[in-house]
Amino acid sequence: MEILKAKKTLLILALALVVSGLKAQTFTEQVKAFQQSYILAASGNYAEGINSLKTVYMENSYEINLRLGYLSYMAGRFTEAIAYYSKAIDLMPYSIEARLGYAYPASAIGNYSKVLEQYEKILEISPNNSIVMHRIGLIYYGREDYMKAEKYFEKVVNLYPFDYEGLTMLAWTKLKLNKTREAKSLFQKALLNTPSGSTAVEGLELLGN
Amino acid sequence: MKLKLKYSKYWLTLFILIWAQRSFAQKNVSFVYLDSLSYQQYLYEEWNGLIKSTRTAYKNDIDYYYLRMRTGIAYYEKHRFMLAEKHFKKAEKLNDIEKINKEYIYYSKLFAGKQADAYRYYYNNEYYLKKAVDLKKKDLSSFSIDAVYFYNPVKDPASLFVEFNNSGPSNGEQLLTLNYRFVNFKLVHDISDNLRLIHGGSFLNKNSYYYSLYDNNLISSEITGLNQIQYYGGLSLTPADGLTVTASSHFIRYSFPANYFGRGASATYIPGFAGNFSSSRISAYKYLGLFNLGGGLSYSSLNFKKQFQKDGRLVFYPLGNLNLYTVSSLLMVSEDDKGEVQNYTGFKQELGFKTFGNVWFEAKYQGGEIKNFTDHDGFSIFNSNDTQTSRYDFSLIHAGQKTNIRLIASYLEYYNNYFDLTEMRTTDLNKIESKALTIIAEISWKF
Repeated sequence: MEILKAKKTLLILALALVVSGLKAQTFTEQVKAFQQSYILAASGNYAEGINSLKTVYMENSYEINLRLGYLSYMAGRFTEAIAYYSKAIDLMPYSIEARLGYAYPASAIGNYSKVLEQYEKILEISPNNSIVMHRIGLIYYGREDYMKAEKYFEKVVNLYPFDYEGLTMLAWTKLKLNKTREAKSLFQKALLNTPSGSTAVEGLELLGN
Repeated sequence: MKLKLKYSKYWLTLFILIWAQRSFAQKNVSFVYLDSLSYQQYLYEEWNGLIKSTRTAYKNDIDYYYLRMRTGIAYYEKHRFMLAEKHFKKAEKLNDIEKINKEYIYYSKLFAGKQADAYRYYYNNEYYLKKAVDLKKKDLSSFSIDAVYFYNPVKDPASLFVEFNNSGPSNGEQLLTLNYRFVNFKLVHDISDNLRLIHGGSFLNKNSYYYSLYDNNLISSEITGLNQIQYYGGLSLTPADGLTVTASSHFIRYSFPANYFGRGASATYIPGFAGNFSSSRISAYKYLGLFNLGGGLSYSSLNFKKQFQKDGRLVFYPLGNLNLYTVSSLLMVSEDDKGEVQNYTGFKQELGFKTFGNVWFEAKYQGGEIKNFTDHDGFSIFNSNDTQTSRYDFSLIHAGQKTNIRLIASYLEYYNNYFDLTEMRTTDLNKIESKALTIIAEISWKF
């Protein structure tokens, strides 16, 4: 009976060793696959980079899905990229990088409702994320919805009052809303940051200064 | 030689077909391939090819804003506006702040004949559409007049009546419509972005052949001056996308003139009378893809009886536009004649299509047995004890920028029975079957 117990223990130990060996092997393969993908992507060969990562693909790996999302986007496979980024988001719901990544292919195919959905989710996670607020502002500005754009650019400028990009975009938005005095002041502040900033100069010229 | 050539042609066609299918199947899951193919088809305006390739994309879960827009534009350019709207709306779900997409949705609705729906959409998206679409709320958005002439070509109406002596009711009457003239006007006002007031009035003047047996006095003569004045009003609401709910009411004032029949001391005096009838209705219709489905309920008090009507209507637009459509309707009227309930069922089948230019042709058949019913979503009342059995309508419609003109020729078969004046109810006696012609001319102005 004792012998039987010892045999069982040995069997479990042996199995554990085999499993950990397999894991170690998979990890090494993963590193190799990732390295290969970086080398291939650096030379612009995104499709091969995808193939190398697919050899070690695991559905529950956040890192592989995120990397495949990026590579697929760079290869122009936008729907696949969205699928990989979505998986990454499902695995790490608080990941801002995965949501920002998702926004690239979604924008490329024009699915801006999805882009805005992700940006709004990021603002829930990180309410003062200035990159996201600036991008939302740009989307609304591009669609000539200046009232909404103003709301977001205003927040960016409150957080970064001396940021050239934020100041000029808020200035242009104010100009479009016929708030010329505010626009002029903002263009002038932008010029203090970047004295030769062309868009600020253009704005001031338009305002007759 | 000929046979060989025929076979080689057959094999060649088969090979091309299989090859095309295989190569397409191989590529059908590739986003890059379908995106570039559909974009090229869009640039070269190959609408049929574009519709096919985007369909393959959707089957393979490749679905994005620009692709939906391309499909929508392909259908729009082919004037299949209902199908275009479907794709533009899917594109809108993917990107709801794009002006061009909203503009396409508005015009797809408008050109598909969904005017109320298009207005509602415009006002819900006014921020995006106000620059591109010049639309203003109109106090009076349309005005229409129609004139109707009904003619029963019966030659000797007196011969159609029989005397009942002791076999029938002692006091009774029967009216046979010989002809009538009818004028109707209708006004439509925009009250808000999704609510319209529709109201109007009509005047009817009828000549009939009158037969009466009253206290053994017989009258058999043509009578003139039967008049009917009607006012109707309704509110039409578009509460949701593609849904219209309408409530309407009619008030009818009729008058039967006083008449002397015969001469001198033997003349019989029949006093005139006047009274009111009414009818109310509620209905709902919804666009579902290529269909418009709905129905209504009406409650009326016409000709001293009470009518409860249930009806349903299905409109099918096989091409996704107004170039071809079929309308199928079923009407069921339950008529309460002093406690005695009679049920009548009628059905209508209509086919309409565009002929040339802006001219449409419509043919309609109505069968079953029906009387005292409401039609045209409650805006027409058939206030008559004549039971319609068959009706054929043929219409020509010219739809202009500002005016619509409609001419209708109608052939009608109907019958009526003797009316018992003691019990004030219709009997089964002396069934007179008639055939009549109706000419209708309608003009409407859009503002």
